[in-house]
Amino acid sequence: MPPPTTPTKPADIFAALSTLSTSFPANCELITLPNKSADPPGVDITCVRLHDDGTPPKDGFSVLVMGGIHAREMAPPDALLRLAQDLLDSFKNVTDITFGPLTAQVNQPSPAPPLAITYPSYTIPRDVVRMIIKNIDLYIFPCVNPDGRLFDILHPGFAGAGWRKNRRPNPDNPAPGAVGVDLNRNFDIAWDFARYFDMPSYRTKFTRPNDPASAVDTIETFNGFTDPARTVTVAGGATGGSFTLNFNGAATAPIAFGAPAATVQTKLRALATIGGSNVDVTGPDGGPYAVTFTGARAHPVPMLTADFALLTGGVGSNPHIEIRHAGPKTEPETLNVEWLIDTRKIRFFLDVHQFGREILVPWGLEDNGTDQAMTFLQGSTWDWKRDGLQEADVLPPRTNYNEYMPNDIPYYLGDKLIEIANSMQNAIILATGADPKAAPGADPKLDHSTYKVVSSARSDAARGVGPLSGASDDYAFSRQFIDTSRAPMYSLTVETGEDEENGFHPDYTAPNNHYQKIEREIYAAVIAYATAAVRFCKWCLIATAAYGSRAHPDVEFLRALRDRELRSTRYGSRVVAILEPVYYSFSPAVARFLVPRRRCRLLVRAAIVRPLVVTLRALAAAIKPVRPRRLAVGLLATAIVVLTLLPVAAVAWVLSGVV
Amino acid sequence: MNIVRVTASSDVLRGLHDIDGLLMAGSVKEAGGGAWTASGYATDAAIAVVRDRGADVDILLDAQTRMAQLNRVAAQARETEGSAPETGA
Repeated sequence: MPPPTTPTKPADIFAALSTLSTSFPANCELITLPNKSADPPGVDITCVRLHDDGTPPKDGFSVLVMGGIHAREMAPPDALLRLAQDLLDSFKNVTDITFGPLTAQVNQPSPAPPLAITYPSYTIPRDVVRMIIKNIDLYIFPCVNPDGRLFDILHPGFAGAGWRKNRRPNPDNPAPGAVGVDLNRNFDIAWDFARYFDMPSYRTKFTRPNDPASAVDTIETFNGFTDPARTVTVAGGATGGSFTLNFNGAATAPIAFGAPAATVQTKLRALATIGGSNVDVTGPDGGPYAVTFTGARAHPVPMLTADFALLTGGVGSNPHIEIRHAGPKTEPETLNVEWLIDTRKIRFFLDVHQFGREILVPWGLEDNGTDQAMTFLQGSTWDWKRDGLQEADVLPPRTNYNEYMPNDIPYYLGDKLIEIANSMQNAIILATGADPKAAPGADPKLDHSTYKVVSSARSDAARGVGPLSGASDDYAFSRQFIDTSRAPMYSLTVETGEDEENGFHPDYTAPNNHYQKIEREIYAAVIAYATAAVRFCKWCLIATAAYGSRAHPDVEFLRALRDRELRSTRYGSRVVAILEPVYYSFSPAVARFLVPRRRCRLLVRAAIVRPLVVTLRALAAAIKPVRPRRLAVGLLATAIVVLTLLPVAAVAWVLSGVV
Repeated sequence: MNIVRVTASSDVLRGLHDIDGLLMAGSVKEAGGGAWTASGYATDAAIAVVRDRGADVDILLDAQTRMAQLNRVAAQARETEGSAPETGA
């Protein structure tokens, strides 16, 4: 099927997903997400699960790749839909996925004409597709934000760069540009941005008042919280002056520092944009004030902001007004993603965005550190104090806060994330036919398809964009700390395409062919990511934990035995397919138990793993001459069932009371 | 809006956010010599202001060409959508 010549509309994407599920019933499950989109009456939102023949969802073997959460990012939904189609075709018909030669253009600084670059054919071998589908559940969710995407397509150049958010109605202001929530700031991860960070410090470093993507502005004013209550606090040690409160573009008369709640209420009620008695204010003189919208304003997203430039006094001359929402509530589209991550036990999560040619590694909340005391979970300890990346301004009560990123056995989260991101970067380059080692400027294919692997929190710091909260990749990544049975989780974001490919809106037609080029890059990145997930499924977690290394000869022997011996025959592969889900249902918990307990590790190593390896080595040597080969592998597989699973299961059963 | 690349020191880049008609997007890349390059969208008027502040601006796609492409996509979509044309804001 040829690539699209124009961005696909959401309804057509969902129709195509439905067709896939009927065309490939054994390998494609159509999933209707629990929530319709936010713009009434809403549309049904669907995604698909690609899986081995007729198999139910596999806990612990789940990969979610999603796109289109930001409406104007046109290419990812199309590419992910086509990837699902191609993977299913390839798996069913045992064919390679092949792209013919491509000539695409990139824009150059005016007045230079676009630069044409020719790429050779690119093939994803059938064996790779088979390996992925056989080993993991691959969830593909191409269009998270259908209302927003349709709006962007139908309203060219809206707000200059296009539409980013969903289409959540705003009863206070129905103007097309006044609605919507940025879904990728709406996940339930450190949702209370102004509380999570030391805001006076944050504001001195990062300012982006004109950017609708602004974490500060979006979350403080309009992030989809569904409780009409706000708490207004005069903070930063103010001692005098005044401030104003603003509702939907109208500002109150100045409110003096220390004013009673009744005064605040009177001045808010005087605003025509609120109208009459649609707001109540209670609290002590000087605040915190509890502001509750009622009547016609008692809807999910009343927009209250503050101007505090006239407040005086305070620490570091930073007196300010904090406006807190009542709680973390999310948009239906966000809830759909959270539902999928949580109910389908997603272990690998990839959010495909556009644009910037970057692969973003968690955390997005802060710099990474290894101090377990510093996690988003420790809110009461670190609230109001997190420094927001920089260390130079650390003065009491601030702290150089680094978000917890463990890098220990058996999961090596920090190293593994970088390793996966690097493999994606390399796969994208190889897909262009370029030499990854070519010097800059020597090969345009390399120069215009090199993705940068960067820390998510620091990716845009040079232009004044600070760390973010409420993003999808951090939410997915954080699940393993909320529920340790979900560990490990590896999440990444990829920003596909670049400004020279028309930014958010690549040209789908010749001679530019931006989309076709980006599509190849998305395929390469996702295949590399899914391959990394398959590799994870090949880890022997208990042996790795017991030896403290993936590279120990005994661990390598066990891995080779499974991959080179057992998987060399159909019967052996079936045995592995049956054993693996059982093994991985308990091995992460056992590995987690072993890692901090040296004596237990020594015991497991001496009493279980080492004898097992010695026995299996002897067995493998004894069985090797047996012919036919499938009989030898069958004997070996049977022996492994007895020797491996039963003792390990016994240990797991014993430990289950303490893990 | 035009699609632009703005090259300047980090301090200058951080100071551009108050310019009406400039929206920074995409990634930031080191340009050498302490300079950084950021992508974005800008009106003609905003480009002039950015240059006045000491930043270099390269135009990668002019607004007219960009809008022609977007309008073509919208027109094709409306053929099956049945919605009335609307202008951008």
